Amino acid sequence: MLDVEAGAREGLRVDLVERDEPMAALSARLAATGPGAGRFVLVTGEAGIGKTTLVRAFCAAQAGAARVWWGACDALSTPRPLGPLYDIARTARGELAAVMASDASRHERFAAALEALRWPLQPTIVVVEDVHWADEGTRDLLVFLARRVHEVNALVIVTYRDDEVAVEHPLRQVLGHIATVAPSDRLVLRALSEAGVAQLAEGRAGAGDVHRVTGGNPFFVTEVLASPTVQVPASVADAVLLRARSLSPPARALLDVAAVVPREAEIELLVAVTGHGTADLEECLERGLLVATGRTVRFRHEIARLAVEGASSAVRRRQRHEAVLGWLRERSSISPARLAYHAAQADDPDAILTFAPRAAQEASRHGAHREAYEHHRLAAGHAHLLPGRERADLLGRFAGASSAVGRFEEAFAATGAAVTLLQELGEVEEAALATARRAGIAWNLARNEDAHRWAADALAMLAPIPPGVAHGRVAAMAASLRMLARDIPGAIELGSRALELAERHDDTEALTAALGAIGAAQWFAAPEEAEATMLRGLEAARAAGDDRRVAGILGTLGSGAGEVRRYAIADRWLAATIEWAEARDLDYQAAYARAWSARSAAEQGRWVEAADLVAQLERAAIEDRPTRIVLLTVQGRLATRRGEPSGPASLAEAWELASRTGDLQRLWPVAAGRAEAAWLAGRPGDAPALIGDTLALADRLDHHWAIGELAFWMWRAGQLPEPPADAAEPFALQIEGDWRAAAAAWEQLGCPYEAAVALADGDDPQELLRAFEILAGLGAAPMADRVAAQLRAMGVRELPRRPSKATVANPGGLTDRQLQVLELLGQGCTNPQIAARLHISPKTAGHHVSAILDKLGAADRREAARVARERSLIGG
Amino acid sequence: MPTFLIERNIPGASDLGPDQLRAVAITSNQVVADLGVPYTWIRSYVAGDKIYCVHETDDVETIREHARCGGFPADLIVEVAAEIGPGTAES
Repeated sequence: MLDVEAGAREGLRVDLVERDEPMAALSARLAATGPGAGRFVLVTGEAGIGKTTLVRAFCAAQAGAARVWWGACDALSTPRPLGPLYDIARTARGELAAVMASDASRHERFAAALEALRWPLQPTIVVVEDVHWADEGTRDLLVFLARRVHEVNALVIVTYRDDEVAVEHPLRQVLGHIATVAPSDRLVLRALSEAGVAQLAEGRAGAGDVHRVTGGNPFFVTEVLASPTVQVPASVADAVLLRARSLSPPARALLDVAAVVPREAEIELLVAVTGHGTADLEECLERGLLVATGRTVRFRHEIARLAVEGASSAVRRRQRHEAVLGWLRERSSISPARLAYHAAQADDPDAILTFAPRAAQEASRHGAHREAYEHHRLAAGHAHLLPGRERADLLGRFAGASSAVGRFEEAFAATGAAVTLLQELGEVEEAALATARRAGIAWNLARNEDAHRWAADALAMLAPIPPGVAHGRVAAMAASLRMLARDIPGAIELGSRALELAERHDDTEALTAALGAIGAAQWFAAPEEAEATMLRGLEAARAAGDDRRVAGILGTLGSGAGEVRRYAIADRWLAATIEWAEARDLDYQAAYARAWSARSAAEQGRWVEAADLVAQLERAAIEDRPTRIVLLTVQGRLATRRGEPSGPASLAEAWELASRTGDLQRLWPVAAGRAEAAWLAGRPGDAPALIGDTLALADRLDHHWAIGELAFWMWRAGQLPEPPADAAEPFALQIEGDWRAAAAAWEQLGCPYEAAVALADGDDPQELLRAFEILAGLGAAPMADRVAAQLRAMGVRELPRRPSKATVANPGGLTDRQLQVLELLGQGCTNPQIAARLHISPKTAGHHVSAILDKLGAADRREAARVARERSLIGG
Repeated sequence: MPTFLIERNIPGASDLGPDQLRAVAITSNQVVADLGVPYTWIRSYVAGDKIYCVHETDDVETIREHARCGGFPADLIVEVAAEIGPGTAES
């Protein structure tokens, strides 16, 4: 048995020099941590600066005062999914360990970790080391924790190399997120001063040289000080290799094998692969080149491992990886990511085809989509070695993994190859399914014509054979595509066929997809039935535990209702989507529902709220195409109606993106917005060119609201004598000249701006005044100016005063007085105190307070103060 | 086997709810089972901002190990020298 303490006792001494300040800072943060007062600390600095050393020393000093959870990300080219959480689960007890060992969903794993951090007896220090190497699952975990750390009793310490996190590095976004949503601090570790280096050198000569060459990097300094020569090595790698060279040949052989094993190497592995004994390993430990941690050893630093690994020839390295793989594959419970890494490094195609797909599967199970994609890509590179059917399956899975990370071009190519193979093999059902998936990918690439063609192909391929599970799934996928294109009759017909097959074969996948497509389509054909159909789909998705599908259906419930202007239903389901998606960190679905909430609020005349939502989403920098289109459309239309200069640019960008999709649901609102902008700018004649094609598309698809709005702008341009038969009612009434009935219909729906615009078509001064008041209240300057001009032309001299710009611009639409009250409320004043300060009666103060709560949507004073601070309405 | 009295400082200990106390007991039992040495948790008293525990084991280090693994503070550990009660008067 090896003396595991030897390395620590006789190896390099690592003193903490010039680290009193960061140590004190960590202690202070821990002291501030308590139940319901968790926080983050980001410890950063270049490689070798001593992040791990500092955090280890800190945790050791806190033994007894805190529970320590330690997890590390590894330097595998494709890291283990949720590696750090698995590390932690090994030392944690209770529910978390059980959940991590089960096949629980990712959300359940995250929730179990959070629950364990509520431990009330003492704070938990959670260390996640080297997150610049974190897999996607771990990055998501950090975001999940950041959003909720304020609820728990934990100090989360995250270490990373700031010089490795470039602007495009995926960790950047995570770090930004932590900084905005969690109570957090950043500790930047600095290089040692000359005095610090001298202190480490303990009076030896040449400390000045050491400082100059090393730049005060503590790891480099200690390597140099431990090197056997008088001369200072030029680089840290030289320093490490100089020491490695002084090892006996057997010890060096052990070190070389350890160097191809990232992070930790099992002692048993090194002994088995090299044939040398533990005595030789002791030599490495005594020289401080390796550190023992129980049954494993690791390099004192990743820099040292890379230096030793890089000193061997590529051929030697490959042989070592092969030997390591040979030992590891005989063991159980070795992570597939680790096996896949050595298989790739050993350049062993059979091993790659064995382990990379397993690693990919494990990664996607943990939501590490990026890593799943990388593993699949590795395997796909050797797919030609597999027999036909297996090759097609591999390509199919690679396509799925590529789609999940938005690499649709690769997914597209892979499904194309899979379809060809499956057709050659005569696998009709699989070929049809792959073709249908390819159609879906084409839609993501905005190749909509291809998408519909392939969907039709897939259906045709299945026509000659007896209906089965594949028929249902293909029909459901085709129905979804028709629905997205707003071909409502087509979607309902195909969806119903899919539904029947899904029920006959008891296939949940086809069932939820079919119900989702039919339900969404029904909003436009039979809106009374839509909600019930979608709820059935929702139930099925919930029962199947498909969180993403549930979010998708909830979102379609909300946006579908919104598109047909059923706002109460829309707002209810959009709120439900946001709640569901955010609790599960399904960020895209949450963002899409938020963008739609903004549209709904804008159409209902809650412009300040809409603008707030848009601004929040802008800050979150959404990349998802559909969300971006909705967002830009709302932004552009709102700016146009407010007379702000940014309108045209937003609409132009929205149009550019929407055109690429070719989908009516994306095109029509932008087209209408551009026609409206042209009309307000006094160029009504521009409308036909801006909306002609989209109106033709809407006609073809028989979308009443799209037809109504677009036809309305054609009519404004003098290009339409009477309303088309299928125009939605309020627009049809207005085109017919019945502005009074149109206004009433708009008011009934809850659309004040449209109601005012309809009133403005009339000649009744009373109604025009009412229109003016609505428009002025909204802050719709261009339209209000028009109505004011109409009124003046009719001889009306006295127009009501418009609300001050400040009232309209204040988020929440608060008046100046209400803002004063809010400020005092934020300071914790009671109603009588507010009354005294503002020289008003306590009763009036009370009225102001309830108006404020109402406008901010806050349940009580405390919440109002919080909301006000979040929106920067008040100081503090 | 020696008996130890352990004082654990836990701000708000008296406010811990039944579910939390249950979680504490489950964790402690698990740690005891994993220690691999004779160890008996006799009883604990939640009082004010503290929990006082009576444990039996051979070595004070094991008490510390139990605390470390379970995430229990252990601010003061003393070996019980003698136990007396009303009956001691008669002996």
